[in-house]
Amino acid sequence: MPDALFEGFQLFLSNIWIVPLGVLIGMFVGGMPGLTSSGTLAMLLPVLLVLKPELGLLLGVSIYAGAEMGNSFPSVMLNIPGTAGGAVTAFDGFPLMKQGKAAWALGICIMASVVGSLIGGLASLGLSPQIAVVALAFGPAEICIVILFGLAVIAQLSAGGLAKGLFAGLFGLLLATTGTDPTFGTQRGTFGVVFLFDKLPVIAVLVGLLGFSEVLVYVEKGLTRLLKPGAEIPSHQIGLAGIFSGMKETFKYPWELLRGGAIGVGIGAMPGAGASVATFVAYQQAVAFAKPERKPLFGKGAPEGLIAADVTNNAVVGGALVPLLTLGIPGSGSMAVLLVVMTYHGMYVGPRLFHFSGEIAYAVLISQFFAAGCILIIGTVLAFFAYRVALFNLKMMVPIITVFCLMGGFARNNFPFDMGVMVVFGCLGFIMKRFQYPVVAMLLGVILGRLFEREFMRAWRIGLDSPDLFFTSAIAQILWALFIFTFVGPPIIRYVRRKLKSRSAAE
Amino acid sequence: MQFLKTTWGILLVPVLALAYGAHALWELTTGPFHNATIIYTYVIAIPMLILGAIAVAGDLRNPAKASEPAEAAASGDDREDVVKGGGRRVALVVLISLALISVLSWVGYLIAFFLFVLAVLWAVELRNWVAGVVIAVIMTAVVHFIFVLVLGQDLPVGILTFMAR
Repeated sequence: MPDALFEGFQLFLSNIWIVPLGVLIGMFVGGMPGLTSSGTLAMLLPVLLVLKPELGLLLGVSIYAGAEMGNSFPSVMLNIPGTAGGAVTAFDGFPLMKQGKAAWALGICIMASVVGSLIGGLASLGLSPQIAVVALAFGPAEICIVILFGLAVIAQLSAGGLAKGLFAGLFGLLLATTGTDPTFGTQRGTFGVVFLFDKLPVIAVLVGLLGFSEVLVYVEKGLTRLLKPGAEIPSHQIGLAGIFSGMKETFKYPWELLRGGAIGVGIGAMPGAGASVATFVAYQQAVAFAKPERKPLFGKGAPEGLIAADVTNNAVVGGALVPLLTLGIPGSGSMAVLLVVMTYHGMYVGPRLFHFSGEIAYAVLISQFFAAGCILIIGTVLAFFAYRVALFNLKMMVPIITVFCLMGGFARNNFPFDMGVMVVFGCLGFIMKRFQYPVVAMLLGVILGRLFEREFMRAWRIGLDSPDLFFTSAIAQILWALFIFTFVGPPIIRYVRRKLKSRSAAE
Repeated sequence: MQFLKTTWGILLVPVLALAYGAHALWELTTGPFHNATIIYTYVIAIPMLILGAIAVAGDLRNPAKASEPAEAAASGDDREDVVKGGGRRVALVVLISLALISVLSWVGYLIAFFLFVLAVLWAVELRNWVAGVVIAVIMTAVVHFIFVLVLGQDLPVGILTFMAR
């Protein structure tokens, strides 16, 4: 191993120039609503195949890492997540932007992403075999419970109450069944519309619920500025000072960084789960572990929430490399493209990769550390210009944001119909916000619905048409216990605290 | 947005969910669905309908509280500089967006996005036409450069057939 590691380092140094290029492309792609890193890698596949295998893989991983950071820019500045994984960044990032703390929020995003990349890099370099074993222990039933877990906690944060939160989440799950059944191939909920035969266009729904609905809120109010009247951005929040202050703030939350990093690596290593599941779980964990006085701040600009989302986003990259390099199993769409590159060049795919092409595998793993540095520098330069969006006339911004929302809906499938879906879900989100239905819970249902259904069906079939599998494994039982605890835990803790307080007062 | 302050407004989201849920359950009776698909739909739809009923009952008991813009309040956005006529502006922006989508294939993205930006600026009551034309030209150019030239998106060229690749 030391020889291969050394050779990998040399190989990486001789191809180092491709990493900043990949990070820059990735940030651009991640910042464009509707464009995903996997889609871009697929478009760039002819280029990746022409390049030498090490160059192709380094470029692919750098694009993936850059995209996971880049999606924070539109999430924070416009409430339009570039990808599903970036949706959680918008929960706390956009409120911070409205408070005049855009540069500060972007500084947090950049530093959390850098730390996430480093954690992902360290974990994938040092713990690859162990992580692969744990990740593979999560079967379909366990993944279903993890998704339900995330849904329940997001529902609990709903201002309209638990019933509305769970209702919105389940509505999202039901909407996600639109299209062809992923297991048996029968069509549901399409109303005969050919554009829905595949599935509901998730990116269009996401952009509509978060971005376009927000545009409509501001159009209704007729505001001219995102900032409140009289509110100015404090001087320490402007420009590089604001960005650096945000970066410093990140290190005040070491547990959020470590927890998010661990979740990102762990879930990233689970085949099929990816950044969207990981960021929701990390956010939910950040809420669960937050001090009681900090909990109400989540969704209104809590730095912990922003850190949890961004550190996890980037740690997922390192996690996703683990099953790809150790077992030959791609954990996400982006990794599937890289698998194609590996097989095209005749590289051994599977547990013996490190034996036959160890230097390339190590070069890819080592590149994550340099990618983290590139994210820091390129991200800071981009953030320096991006935060100024907060100062623009909002009336001028309305058509600009709407065009990006429409293109975000269109870009994935190139159907004008998807633009219509975006508008419809924008209106739905606008009405939901009015009546305190959490759009985020619905979003989680729509984003994770296909995965949830596929894993549910798999568990059901493995269990021979019975739900046994959901309750028999030790991991499932632990997850159910945690799930139940999210409902009964807080009232019990409050009761015990009250009792202790009254007892100490009596003494 | 007077409609959203009425009982019908409160019922809008649950009724949509109810209609979709009922359709999903009815659809199961019409085709050759596998047992697992049927169970999955029941597992999702029935709790959703029950929770929707609970949410509606709560809202109807206290309609004034139901229509508080929670997310705006949550993010500290209880602003005083709100301008009247919001419902009309929202309806116009939505209608203009739908109009763009319906004519996009016919007139092409260059003309459609240029006119769209001008129309939305008019809808949001920004009546500086010079600024409007400048923004419209810039946005059309941005769409053309980023989405068509750089990213290779296949936007409809419509009547400008000479632009077809």
